[in-house]
Amino acid sequence: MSPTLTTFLFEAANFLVLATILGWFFFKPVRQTLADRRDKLTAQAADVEQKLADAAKKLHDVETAQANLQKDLDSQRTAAINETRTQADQILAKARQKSEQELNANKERISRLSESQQRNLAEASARTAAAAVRALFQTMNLPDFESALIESACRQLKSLPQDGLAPITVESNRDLSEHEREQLLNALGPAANTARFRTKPELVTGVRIATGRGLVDASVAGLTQFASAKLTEEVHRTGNNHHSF
Amino acid sequence: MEFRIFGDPVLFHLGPIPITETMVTSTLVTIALSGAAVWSARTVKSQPLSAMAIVASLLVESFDNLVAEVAGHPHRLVANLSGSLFLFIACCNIAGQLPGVHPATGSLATTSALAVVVFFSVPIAGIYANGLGGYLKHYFQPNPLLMPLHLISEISRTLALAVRLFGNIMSGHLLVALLVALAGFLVPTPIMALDLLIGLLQAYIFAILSTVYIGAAISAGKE
Amino acid sequence: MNDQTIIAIVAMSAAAITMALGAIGAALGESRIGAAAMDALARQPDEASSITRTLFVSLAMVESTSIFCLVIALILLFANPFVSATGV
Repeated sequence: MSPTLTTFLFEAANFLVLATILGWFFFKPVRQTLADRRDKLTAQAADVEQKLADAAKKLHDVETAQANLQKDLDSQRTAAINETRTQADQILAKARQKSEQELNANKERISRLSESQQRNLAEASARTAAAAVRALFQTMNLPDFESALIESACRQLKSLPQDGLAPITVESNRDLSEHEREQLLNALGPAANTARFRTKPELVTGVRIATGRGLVDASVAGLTQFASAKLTEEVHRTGNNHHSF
Repeated sequence: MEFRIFGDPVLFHLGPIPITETMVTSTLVTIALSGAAVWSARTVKSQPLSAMAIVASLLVESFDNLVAEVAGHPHRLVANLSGSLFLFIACCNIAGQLPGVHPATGSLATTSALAVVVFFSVPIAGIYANGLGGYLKHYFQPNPLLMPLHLISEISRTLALAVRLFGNIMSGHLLVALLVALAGFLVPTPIMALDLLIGLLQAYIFAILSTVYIGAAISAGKE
Repeated sequence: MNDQTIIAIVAMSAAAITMALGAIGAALGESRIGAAAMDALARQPDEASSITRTLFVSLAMVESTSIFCLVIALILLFANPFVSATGV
């Protein structure tokens, strides 16, 4: 056999054997492994896709729930705010009403207080003034003044109608003198015989004659009482004026 | 330095059969390639991210894709054949760059053996895919008068396949040998690098052309 | 000048002419292929892998003609069947 022919045949056989070996021990297992890996990757990709879809769905659910929750929360908050506001308004109104009532009561009380105070003040001042006047007259103890008082009493008696004067009570701070008693009796006229004389030291000075037609007061006590009444009235008037202002 | 172009020294005789240097070289390449293939197949399964496994997966994938693209649909046997052709020729060409080794593909006997394998694979694949009648019909396809031309083209392309590979590898090797003889050490290095590139390119072209021929036979009856 | 010398001279000349013409033709064809491939790549960058594969196949087929020329030249030079002696 020629070397070339043997080489040719051997090479052909050699290559066929090599192709078989490679096909059986290289291409087939490698292809198998690659196919397995590709299948696994595909399965994994599908799995991942599935999981991704699930995750997206869950995310969507969570977002929806969150939105709902947020809405609920908002509505609750607004409701609570409104309720609180109305409550606060009510409380405020109540408080305002109450305070107004109290204010009015206080105002009333204050005004009442001030009225009574004014009255008290007026009375106190009048009493003080009367006491002062009376003390003044007591310390002065003037006979001229006494006689002037008596003459004034006489004048008042004469101005009264003569009938119906009896019974007559003459009160004085001390026992009257004859002259003074005569003067008074003259002034009394026909009712003089019913006159009784009494001594009253609280009159300070002057006489007070009670007749059937009224009281003729010509004493310091009467004056001071009159002055006191007058003063009280005056002070009360001015105080009311002041208050109304 | 001897310039070997067509000769193939006989190393020894095994009985009546002469064992040439090319036979020894290709056997060694076959053994080494089988071992590496088995090992890398195991690596692909155990360590899918190692460089070896990636290269192996890439190779298998690309040849599967190539066959699917050329023949119209995936064909495992065709992919096996073209992948084996590429690996064998590439390994032989690269082995030829080793000092003192004459590449197995630098012998016309080897390349013609490979080309004849492809030559016989074409009708086998065609008959397997389309049936005997379906395959034989395409010889008469445009016009029965063109049948001789079909036959001549089949033979001539087989011849071209064999001679192209042989001429490229042999001439590259011869060029290196000439440069070594003329200029000496280190001067042929760029030419050797070019030979590496050409060797891989020729292996790729051989594989692609055989795939195209077989794919054409497979898709012949489907027009 | 015996027959062997004439045959050798003719064989060498034929080898030289074969190489020259084969190289010229292959070079022109490959340049055209390269230009066309560039054009196609510029037009359709998406089809780069397909174009590149076709480019290499075409280049190899064109290159094979010049390789045939080389083989024939080598046969003429080193394995001339009309030369009695081995080699020149």
